[in-house]
Amino acid sequence: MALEAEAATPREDGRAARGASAPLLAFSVFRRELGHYFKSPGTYVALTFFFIVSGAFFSLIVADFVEACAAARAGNPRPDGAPTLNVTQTVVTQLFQALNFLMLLLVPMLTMRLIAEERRSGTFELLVTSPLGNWDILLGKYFAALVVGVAVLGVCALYPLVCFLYSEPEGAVVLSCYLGLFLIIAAYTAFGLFASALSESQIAAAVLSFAGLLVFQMIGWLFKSGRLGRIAMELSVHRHSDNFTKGVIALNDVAFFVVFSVFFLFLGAQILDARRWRA
Amino acid sequence: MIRVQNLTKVYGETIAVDHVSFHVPQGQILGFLGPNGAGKTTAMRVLTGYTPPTSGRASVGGHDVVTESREARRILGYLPENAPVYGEMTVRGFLGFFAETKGFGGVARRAAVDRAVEECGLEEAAERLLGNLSKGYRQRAALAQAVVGDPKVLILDEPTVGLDPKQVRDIRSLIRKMADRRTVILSTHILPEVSLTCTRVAIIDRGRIVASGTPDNVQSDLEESNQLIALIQGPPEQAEKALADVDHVRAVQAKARETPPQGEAARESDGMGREPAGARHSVTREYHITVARKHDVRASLSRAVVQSGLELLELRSVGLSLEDIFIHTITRSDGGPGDAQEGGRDGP
Repeated sequence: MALEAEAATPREDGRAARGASAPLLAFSVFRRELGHYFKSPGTYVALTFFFIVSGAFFSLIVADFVEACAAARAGNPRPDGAPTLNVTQTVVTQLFQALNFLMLLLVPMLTMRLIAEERRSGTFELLVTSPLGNWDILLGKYFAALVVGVAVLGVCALYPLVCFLYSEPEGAVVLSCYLGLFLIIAAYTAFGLFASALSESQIAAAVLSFAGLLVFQMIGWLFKSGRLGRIAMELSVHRHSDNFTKGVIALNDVAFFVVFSVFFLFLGAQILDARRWRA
Repeated sequence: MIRVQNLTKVYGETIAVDHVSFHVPQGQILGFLGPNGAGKTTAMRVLTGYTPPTSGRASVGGHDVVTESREARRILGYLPENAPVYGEMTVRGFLGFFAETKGFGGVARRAAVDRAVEECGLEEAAERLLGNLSKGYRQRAALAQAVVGDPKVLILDEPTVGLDPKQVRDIRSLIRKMADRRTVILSTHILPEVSLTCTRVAIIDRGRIVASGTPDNVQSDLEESNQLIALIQGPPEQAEKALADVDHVRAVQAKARETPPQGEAARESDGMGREPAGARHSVTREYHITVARKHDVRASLSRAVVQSGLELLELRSVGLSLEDIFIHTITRSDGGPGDAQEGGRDGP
């Protein structure tokens, strides 16, 4: 919504001559930023790390499952594995829980430079003094990072694909897991962008977003009882993402991630505004 | 085109810009001259909408920089200090991006980029990555970024800093060329830049404008005295006395080093290096004469010299350079040692 409102302005004011081909301002930022992701070695380092670790997780989960199956077939089921022989519940669910956790590391690595680096190198001054609005900058950068996240999801499709080749997991649960993971990435990206707006240091931004997101993951365990516990449960990323891995899409979980993303984007915009007033 | 009224910007306890007012008509190049930390960058950042003023108003092309920031930014090109660029982009990509932010798309975008590339002489570097370019080219690319889309107003913060002398000359002539159709404000702490590029100059120190006008006006307004240099042959005591007796002459100072007249003196002293007899009479010295402001004493001076039987070999007037004025103005507003100068006027 804000995207349209912001981008519509240049067309209204006598720029009609250029209007026919006037680009959406946020889209310009988005394209530039996405180009940066492709050209930046940092992206490839982060993605390589992510795929090595997630691949390792996946093979461990599969190996464990295969072993459990073999044991069951031989007539001596493992004492620890209660629901284990269901490929959806073990492999798919565990895989997505692992991916969910890895996003906690990957997303801050992808978002840390978004604003911090521009502020350090001075190009931020160019952006802010161009006719771009704060929301153009923010949304352009947000969606560029989100597209990288979605691309990662696309490559991650290999894992369930392998499951489908050798077994029959429930497609609906896989899709629900995917939706959950997408929402998590969207929320984390908004938080990472907000953290990047706070600091000139990329490292500080990365640490801040990792630590902040970790708190949102663990907040449910930190406060277990009483009113505080109830609030903590409502804010817990872990609790809201758990249902998706079980194949349950609840409206309040979806709403949580949407509100989370919008809230931190909004906070990011506030910070950009405040920077203008203080800088 | 650019109008600033009573602009004040305070950071915490520091007053960066202190009740500054000025006006730049269309087609002028205003040079902000001042030492580092004088408030030049802050004033420019207010004009570009990067930071809002604490009080006062500023407008660019009739658009207030606070209430109509976007409209103002749309007709304005800005080169920030240190010329930041995106190192991972090509020059063309970089310019294209900023053309887009100014509302150019498709064919118009391409044309705008081509024009900026041509105007800034970037043809050779157009497809190269900015990160791999030399400082001079990067500076040009940043300048091209300000120029792309042909904004009516250019604000350039230290456009020549960190360049080698040839690049400095290139950038200056570029700026002069650009000013044909635009209104320009540039800041610098390099003095010749102002007299070379600007039609108007504002000397800014500690957030205040201490002098402004055309470079020539500022120069003559601020000169408190004229300096004359006379080359006189004859006994020094006599010459000094003759000079000092002329009306309006404030001070006479003989240059310590003797300048022997060509030919004769050179022949006489080449023996043992001792001063030959009779040389005392033909001794030639340079005298620096300080004269009260706005009095031309050259005629009476030469008469006085000749009448006392001395030879006047040369008489020339030296205006104070902009550099002298700059240092002088700044030390005076300092409340420091500059105040003690004889005949010093009160603040501007």
